Amino acid sequence: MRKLTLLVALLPLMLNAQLAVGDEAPDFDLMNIDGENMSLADMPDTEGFIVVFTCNHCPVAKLYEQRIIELDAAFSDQGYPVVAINPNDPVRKPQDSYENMQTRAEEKGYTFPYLVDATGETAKAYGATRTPEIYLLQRNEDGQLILAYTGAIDNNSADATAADEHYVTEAIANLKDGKAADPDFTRAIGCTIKWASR
Amino acid sequence: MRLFSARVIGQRLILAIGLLCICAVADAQDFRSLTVAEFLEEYQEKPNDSPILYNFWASWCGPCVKELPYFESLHENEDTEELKVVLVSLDFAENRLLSFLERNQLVSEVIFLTDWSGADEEWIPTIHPDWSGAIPITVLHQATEEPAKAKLDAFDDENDLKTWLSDALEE
Repeated sequence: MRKLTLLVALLPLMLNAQLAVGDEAPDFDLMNIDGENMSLADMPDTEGFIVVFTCNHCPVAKLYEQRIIELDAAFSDQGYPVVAINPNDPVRKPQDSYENMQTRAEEKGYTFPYLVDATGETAKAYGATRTPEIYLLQRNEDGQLILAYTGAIDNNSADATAADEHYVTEAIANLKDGKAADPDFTRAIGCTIKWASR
Repeated sequence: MRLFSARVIGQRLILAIGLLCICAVADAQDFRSLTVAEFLEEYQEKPNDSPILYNFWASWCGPCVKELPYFESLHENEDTEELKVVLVSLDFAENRLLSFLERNQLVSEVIFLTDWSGADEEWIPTIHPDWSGAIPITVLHQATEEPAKAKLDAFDDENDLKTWLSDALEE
């Protein structure tokens, strides 16, 4: 009973806690747009992952969509594949439904998984607050996936060509050089996650 | 003999359409366009009399647009009519904001930020240290209180905003 009380007391803190750089990233088991479930553990040979919380409807996510496709094209062969996760409640945002995710991925030619997190549990476990938001994970010697960078892809959402800080690309270059990402955290304008009703 | 040649009618049409356009523009609400640096200068100044409620929004943001009427209703309420409401737009282009304001008349002051660019470690935490950049966000500035109180997502309805405000406003 006491344990339960403690858990209830800690719950709000746990829900709000953002994964910090250096923390081990929690795995998940989420349905992909092909109907199959997927976990990070399914791909044990990567150097890491570019996990991105994104969605169909958010204008900022749309502005970054092509850049997410390009990140996968550039880095999946280098050991850092993209894993996209949609944390929005489709009841609140019908554009973000499973069927619409399938349509969008097909139209735009996604080369990476696009997973359904309709309860938002995975986004909460990562402490994600907005779309789009990147969590760059690096595998350590023990095989654990450690958060190396979190934030934006670059510093210009409206215009890719005007961006002069390419955070994810530079972070991966640093990791491959045995260095830490710098910066390892950025904030950016985005859309609040449309959480399933509390 | 025709009273008006096609050319004259054409010219009059152009004039009429032109006048209509001018009226439409004149009808649209005024807003100030500020750079982030200019805005921060105002934002960081402590309000010396009535508190200021800042809401960061964009016409492309569904939950933001949904809650705009809640802020507008504050002007009609006796308890909150003294409160200054500033709606800071993070639209990508000024003409998007303009056409939104043509369709939706707002009483609150509107500011358009001209040079925000997405990720920025300088100005986003200056607005509020807990802000990740997700909009909407609402921040209340008061003369004495430190730090400013913020609501990091949308209000559910008018009452939700009023309850939050009455908790946040100092006696």
